[in-house]
Amino acid sequence: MTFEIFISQFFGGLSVAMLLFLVASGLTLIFGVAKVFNFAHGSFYMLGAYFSYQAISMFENFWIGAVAAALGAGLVGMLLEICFIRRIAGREEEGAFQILLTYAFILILDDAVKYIWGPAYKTISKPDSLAGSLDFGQVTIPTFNLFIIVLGLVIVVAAWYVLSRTKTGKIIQAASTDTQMVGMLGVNVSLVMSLVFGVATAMGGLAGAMAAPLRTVAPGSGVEVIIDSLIVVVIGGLGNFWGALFAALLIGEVNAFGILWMPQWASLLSFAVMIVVLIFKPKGLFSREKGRKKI
Amino acid sequence: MTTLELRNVNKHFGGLHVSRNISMGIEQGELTAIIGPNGAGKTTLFNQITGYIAPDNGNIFFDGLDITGKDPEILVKMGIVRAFQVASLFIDETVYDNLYLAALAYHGKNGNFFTNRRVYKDVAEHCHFILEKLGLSGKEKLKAFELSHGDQKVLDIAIALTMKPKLLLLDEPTAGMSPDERVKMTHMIRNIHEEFKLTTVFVEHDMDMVFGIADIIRVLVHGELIAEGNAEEIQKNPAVIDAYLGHEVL
Amino acid sequence: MKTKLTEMAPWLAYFVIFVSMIFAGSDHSIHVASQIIILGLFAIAFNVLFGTTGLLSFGQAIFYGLGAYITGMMAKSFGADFFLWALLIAPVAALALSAVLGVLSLRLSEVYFTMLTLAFAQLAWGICVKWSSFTGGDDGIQAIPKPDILNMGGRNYYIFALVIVSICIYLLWRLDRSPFGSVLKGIRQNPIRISFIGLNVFRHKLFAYMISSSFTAIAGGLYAGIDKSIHPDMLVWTMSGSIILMTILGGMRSFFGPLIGVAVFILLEDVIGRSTEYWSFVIGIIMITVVLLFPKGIVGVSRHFAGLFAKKGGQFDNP
Repeated sequence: MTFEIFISQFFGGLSVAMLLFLVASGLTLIFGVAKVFNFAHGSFYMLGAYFSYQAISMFENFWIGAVAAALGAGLVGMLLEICFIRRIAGREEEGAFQILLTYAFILILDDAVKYIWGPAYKTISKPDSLAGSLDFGQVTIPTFNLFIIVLGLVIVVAAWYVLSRTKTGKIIQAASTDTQMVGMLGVNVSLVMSLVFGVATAMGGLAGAMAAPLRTVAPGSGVEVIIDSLIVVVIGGLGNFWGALFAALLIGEVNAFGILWMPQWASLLSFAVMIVVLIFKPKGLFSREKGRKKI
Repeated sequence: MTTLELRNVNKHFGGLHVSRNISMGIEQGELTAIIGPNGAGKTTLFNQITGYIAPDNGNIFFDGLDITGKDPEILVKMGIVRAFQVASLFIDETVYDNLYLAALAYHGKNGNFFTNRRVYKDVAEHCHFILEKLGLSGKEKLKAFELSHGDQKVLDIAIALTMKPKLLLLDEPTAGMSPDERVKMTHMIRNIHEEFKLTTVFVEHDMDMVFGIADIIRVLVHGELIAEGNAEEIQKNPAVIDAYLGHEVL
Repeated sequence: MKTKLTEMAPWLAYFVIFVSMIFAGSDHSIHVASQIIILGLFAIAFNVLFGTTGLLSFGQAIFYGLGAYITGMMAKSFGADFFLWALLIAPVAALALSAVLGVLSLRLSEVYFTMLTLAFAQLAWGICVKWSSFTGGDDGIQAIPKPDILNMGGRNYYIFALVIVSICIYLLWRLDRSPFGSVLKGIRQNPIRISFIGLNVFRHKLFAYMISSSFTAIAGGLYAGIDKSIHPDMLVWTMSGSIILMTILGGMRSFFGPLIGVAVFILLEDVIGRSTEYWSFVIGIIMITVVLLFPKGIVGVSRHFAGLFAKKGGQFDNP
């Protein structure tokens, strides 16, 4: 492997990792705060891609597409939370029913997308300003990939800052642990939950819009994404922000280099990584649990 | 003969030292009360004795065998059985079926997957014996969630007794009970203790009960065992008075 | 005596319905009935995990596919006689695979377990699609031979499948009423208490997972004989999803509930599924309705009404 190929694969993997992290961190955010496992999280990624496709075909501007993707996915997410997910809160075996309910969303959203935009693949081209590539001596890196890496980093830092360093973040964290008490203090807890849901699904939608020029837009793409983000979350530890970042980087790079090594089987390598992690660290690489938990 | 012995048991939760170098020996047939203010680490101590969590260091011996870090299911088979602060039941099942499941486990029938579970005469007799002993006869067909709070606690202890313990640990047996229920529970515990010659340890806040029936009282404060002795000795112990009433009274 | 009767009534209904299909059915209805009993076995086996033990696996299709591929590939490579042998080997293979996957996934709690089972099944599906030289890839395997006696029309095969499925369901029914079944129900309600009556929670869960999986493999093997063809879709995650839906649609707290759910679902699919290309959408709507409004399923709703009726009757009896 030449140095040039190494560098370009590395940056390719990095941009995939950032997109994966955007989706996976939305998943962990919802799970950490609202205690909801949103199985349909990948479908918001898909929705984002379609919303952006629609906006671009109307306004012919990539950035309007990105905003439409985030807003649209966020709104649909909030709507589903308010109309459905909230209604099964507190029920016996809530966890299982959440998974089933959000599974139903996947089926419905997949078919809705097929109905509205048709079953054929759609493509979105990169914005003109980022279509080129940067030359570093012998190595060239597509500008768009660099942009995604930077955008990902900005969102990571912003999300971490908001959650751990601001009052809003404190309210969100408190609302998830002491729901009743925070309610007594005059915070509208269910509104906080809906907003968290909205922000997380908006992150998924944005990731979908950003990934669209790199991949294709197709119904059912949400499922692949949710499986990849599940792998990320399992490796990193559910609800663990930095763990998810590390795991996304790991999976992104494993895929980028795996495709050179064994092209046909590359998509299965993530599973292999996950299984290895599980054998040695069943609670994820960054689980904070110490000592033995018995049951 | 010493049934349960703790040697220098320590446990931390994060920065909190919840068991500080605890050593004690509980003699066979003894009825011990463990008292102490909230947060003294009483339930944590129970959790370590019963294998729910392992101590950070130190050792626990049962009948002379080192049981440190062994899993609850192994300790139950050895004879260490507990009841919980919040009754731990099979909430959708009847009172009878709660005991029946415990008795199936006791008689080692849990692996049989082809026999009708109702056919075991010895298991049924075992359940009826426990039902009668604990005054639950007549309520056996009620679902666990239909029971009063007091009866749920009784059922919790009944499940524990079904396992024929050598060492019975009761975590706040009268918590949340009415005064009437407390008196009944106190009598029940004394009767169980006397009839089965059972080494019993209980955590309790009801001092009438503690000073009424316990042979030995052990006082835990901030994870530390500060005193042990009979009722009279504990009442006169300056460290205990200090812990409960503060310095200014002295 | 009364309890005996209520226990036997579902069995009576089961035999009346499915035996009468042998004589009454057209080719098409025999085909539908075959699907119902085979998926019925799948759903009842799944419910040993879900409704009984409280473990939601989103990857039971892996064992269904395993059974189907073992049967299909053995019969295809070694000849029709091996079809029957394969039906014996499939559950044994599933036992081994589920032991490995169970050890990896059952150590983790709820959501993790669900998602791991999904990931394993998707991995198996990926292998199945990509390793086309071994599995036939996307096309699956066609023209699977069966012994001659099972080949004469769908009816003979239906009878054969009905016998095997009935034996399997009977075994699972015995398990449901056995001490082991009681322990599993206990684990669902209170795993901590189970370990404090001296039982190892993990070990019992693992056995439940292995038993459920091996019966699922038998169902998969039987399915290979219906149309003589199998395909990777049998392992795909929506297969597991559909089984879950059918189970809660029928009623996960009842032994025969999943079978009722399967029957209703397959009949709906037969009527609606063929006339729309948006069948997944319909499934999604059914799923939301059941989860939000009827979480106890068809059996739960009918028990509710039967209860109301019985209370009214009681009032008339005691004026």
